[in-house]
Amino acid sequence: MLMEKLKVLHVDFAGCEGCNVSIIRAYPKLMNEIELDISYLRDGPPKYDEYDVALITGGACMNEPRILEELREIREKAKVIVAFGSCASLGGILRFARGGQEPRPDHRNFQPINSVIPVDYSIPGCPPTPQMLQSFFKFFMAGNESRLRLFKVTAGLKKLSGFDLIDDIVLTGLCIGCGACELSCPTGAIRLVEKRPTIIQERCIRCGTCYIRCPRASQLICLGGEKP
Amino acid sequence: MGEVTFDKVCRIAGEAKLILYEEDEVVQDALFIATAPVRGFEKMVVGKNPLFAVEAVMRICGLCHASHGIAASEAIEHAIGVTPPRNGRLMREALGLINRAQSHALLFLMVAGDLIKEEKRNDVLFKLMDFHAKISDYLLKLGGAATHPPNLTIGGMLSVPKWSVFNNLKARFKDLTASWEATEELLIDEDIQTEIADELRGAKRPFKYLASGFFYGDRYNIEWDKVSSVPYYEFRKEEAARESTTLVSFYNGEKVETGPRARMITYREFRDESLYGLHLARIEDTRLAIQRLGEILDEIRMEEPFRAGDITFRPGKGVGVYEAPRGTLIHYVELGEEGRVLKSRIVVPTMFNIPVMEEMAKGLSVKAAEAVMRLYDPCIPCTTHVVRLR
Amino acid sequence: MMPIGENLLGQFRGVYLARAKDEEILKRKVASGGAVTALLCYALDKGLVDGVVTSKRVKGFEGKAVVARNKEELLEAAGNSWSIVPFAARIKAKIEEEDLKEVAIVCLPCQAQFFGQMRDFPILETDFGNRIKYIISLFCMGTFAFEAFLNYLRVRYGVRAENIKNIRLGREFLEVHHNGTVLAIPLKEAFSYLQTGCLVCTDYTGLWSDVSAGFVESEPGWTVLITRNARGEELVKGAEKEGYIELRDGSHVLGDILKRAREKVARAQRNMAQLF
Ligand SMILES: Cc1cc2nc3c(=O)[nH]c(=O)nc-3n(C[C@H](O)[C@H](O)[C@H](O)COP(=O)(O)OP(=O)(O)OC[C@H]3O[C@@H](n4cnc5c(N)ncnc54)[C@H](O)[C@@H]3O)c2cc1C
Ligand code: SF4
Ligand code: SF4
Ligand code: SF4
Ligand code: SF4
Repeated sequence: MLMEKLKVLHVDFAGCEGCNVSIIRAYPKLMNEIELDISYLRDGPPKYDEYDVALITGGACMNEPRILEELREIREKAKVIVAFGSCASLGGILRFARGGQEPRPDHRNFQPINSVIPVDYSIPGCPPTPQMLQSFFKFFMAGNESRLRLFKVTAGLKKLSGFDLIDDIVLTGLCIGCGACELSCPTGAIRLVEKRPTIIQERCIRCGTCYIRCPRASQLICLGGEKP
Repeated sequence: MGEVTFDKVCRIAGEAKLILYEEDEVVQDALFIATAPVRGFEKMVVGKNPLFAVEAVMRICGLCHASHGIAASEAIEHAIGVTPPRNGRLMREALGLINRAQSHALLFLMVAGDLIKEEKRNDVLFKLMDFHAKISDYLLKLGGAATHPPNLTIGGMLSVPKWSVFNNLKARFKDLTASWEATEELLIDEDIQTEIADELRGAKRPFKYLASGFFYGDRYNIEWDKVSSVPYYEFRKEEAARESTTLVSFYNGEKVETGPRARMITYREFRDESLYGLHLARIEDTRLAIQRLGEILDEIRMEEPFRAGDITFRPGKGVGVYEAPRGTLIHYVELGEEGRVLKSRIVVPTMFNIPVMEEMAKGLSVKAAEAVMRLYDPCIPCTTHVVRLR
Repeated sequence: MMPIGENLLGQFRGVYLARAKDEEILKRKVASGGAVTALLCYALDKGLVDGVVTSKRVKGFEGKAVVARNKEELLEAAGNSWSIVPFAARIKAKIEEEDLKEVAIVCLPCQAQFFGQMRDFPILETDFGNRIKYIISLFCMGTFAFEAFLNYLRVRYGVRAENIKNIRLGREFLEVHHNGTVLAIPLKEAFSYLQTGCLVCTDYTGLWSDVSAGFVESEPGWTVLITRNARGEELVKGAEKEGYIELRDGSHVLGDILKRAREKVARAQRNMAQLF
């Protein structure tokens, strides 16, 4: 019996579309396993009332009640919620939004999705690659919980960035100088000098990939489940 | 007068509402209301280092990220009196054109739902995604990432790929062109198109056009102080307009259309002034962008610098005008103490196009009017962050 | 990577004791059984990989990332370098410079975690996990803050970095071979110079690797190999079939390995409570 395709819904909230593009780019290779309900391909409202997985991109504008309401509805409709991209999982660039801008100066607080509804997996990245989404579904459909543990734990965290990595790991002396953070930064904001990372503040967009790729940091958050 | 409301318009970039007023199936008026929350990038960059401003504004839009990066860099360079060296300017043009092709590929996917018969849409999806993957790899290798390229910075290129990378990209250029040609074939094959496409072919709709160049754009090709913007709800008095989160812009007080058709008519002998011409112009725009990319790869001289040397941030005012995929994009910037951003204003192409889209919808069927909205490739993330000019 | 409750050694297929069969390898100052070098020679000879990224001891404790393309280059790298190998950026540069498509990487558990995660979860386009075919992790109790430790060796024992020929980890002592003699330092004393970060590390065998390699006191001259997936299993069994290594069942030493793994986790918990 052909394995039932996973019903996957994608919804975007004030994202930049970058993550949406990653998702649609990943879709051709996932078509045998999942049925993706995404605005790019449809003509009306979402097709089903229930979904196995909901991929949520962009951040939650806390000053728009209808958005918070819609997020709660999605939580009801989907068995598993995946926050895809740094905006949805850790705030990302939206951490810098401060409101006060016309024509809606009241839109002043943007939060990661897990500030509004419980999230099952958070995948940082600005944006994460299409291959990342394909890998996620490969391990998810194989039920390989241990391999996905890092994204499960990240779903419980709200803020991770180069600044946090410096504070939590480097300044506490726990850094072992392996250089993984430098290779995991999309903007070259964190670099090793004399075997220790330094941060170039103006290049950091708070995407959080350096933090989850640091073996020390990811080991610690996976053990305790919260930030050290 | 009947009213057809789309609470969430599908197959566009971002969140918007569309209301079409129709009388026996013919649209009399349209309201295009962006509803996405305002992330407020102009406020976000105030007080920040200009390097951060470039990284941040790219994240206004995941479709035309490089365009914002380029326009912001140009504005800041104009403010501090820096010009990128030849290689830097050429590489920037290349990154911008790659992004143009990426963005157009996405738009073709979105309008496939209107223009192409149902049974052929999966073919189009596969061809477009194959092309998108191939062109994105060029942005990764040259710009450092396929989205929000970090190598694009003030004064030119942050880091420069090795010569072997250029050779590799040149060697693969034939595949890229072949992938595009296979896609183009599907996009212009009238046998697999819908009646909406036929209706749009019949709708002759010339307009006033705004374009600041073809491949790159130039702040001196337009009089940027003739641009004015007002909140949408001051432009449209209807009650529903209150909900809008964008501004709209005018040039010399008049509505102007900007984008591929504007570029093609202003800078190339493109004569198809039908609404279907919007689709054909975007196809030409993509093909010419790829060709120009090929030329640039041969024009780079590895031994020359890729970035201006003396970059010191200091007070000053500057304007960057760039031809983004959707049309003319303008960034104003004012730098204050230590060159930190004091003020930033951004005018995006969709702000010019919203009034035009509503105009063009008149006289069409409901289905065709909805398609025209998409053919102008509105980008809500870009449009919902801007601030009134004066 | 697992919560402490879960199995300390992670998922694995098989546990073996292995020894290189090639005399030339055994002659070199291999760490234990020379099995890692032998495995890699097999992989190179049979074209399973187009290069091996490993570490070569340069001075004192410092290691330099090297790409070995043949047996000779591999043999030069045998033995241990006790610093954490030069950081990942240099490894990436090496791989991309020589445009290697299928590499084997020998590294420590923390690096195995980074490479393993990058291979399974390519979040960034600049990730190069698709070029990594085998991740071979060495067991690890920690690496030295080598400037501090070298200084201590010079001040306390008059041993200069350039004269250090080899370092071997024994049951109670760290053996520092220099100028033809051996300086045995009690482990407790030596381990006070470990990097602080290593004191909170819980991964003894390298949970994200394809093959983990280490040694146990009870089997001198043999390397313990733990295969973690089909890929690792095929590599080890293939090397045996082609006569590169001698293989014995290793389940009887599992207890020892678990003991040290538990010690490392206990050490990590103690230090975590103190350092946070
Ligand atoms: C810092 C360190 C700590 C260790 N701690 C323990 C321990 O506590 N318990 C235990 O059982 N085993 C430990 N080992 C592993 C052990 O020392 C042997 O490396 C292992 O048993 C393999 O032996 P072999 O003879 O098969 O390896 P060999 O055939 O000698 O090959 C070893 C290979 O590892 C490479 N290499 C050496 N050092 C490094 C390094 N730092 N980073 C990356 N590659 C390297 C060499 O280049 C060589 O290719 C440690 C190794 C290191 C480097
Ligand atoms: S994470 Fe990055 S790419 Fe994704 S929506 Fe946010 S800014 Fe855009
Ligand atoms: S340092 Fe780099 S990887 Fe880390 S949060 Fe900042 S931008 Fe992201
Ligand atoms: S990844 Fe973590 S341990 Fe490695 S250098 Fe960066 S901060 Fe230090
Ligand atoms: S103890 Fe852990 S962190 Fe330290 S070198 Fe070994 S594996 Fe890496």
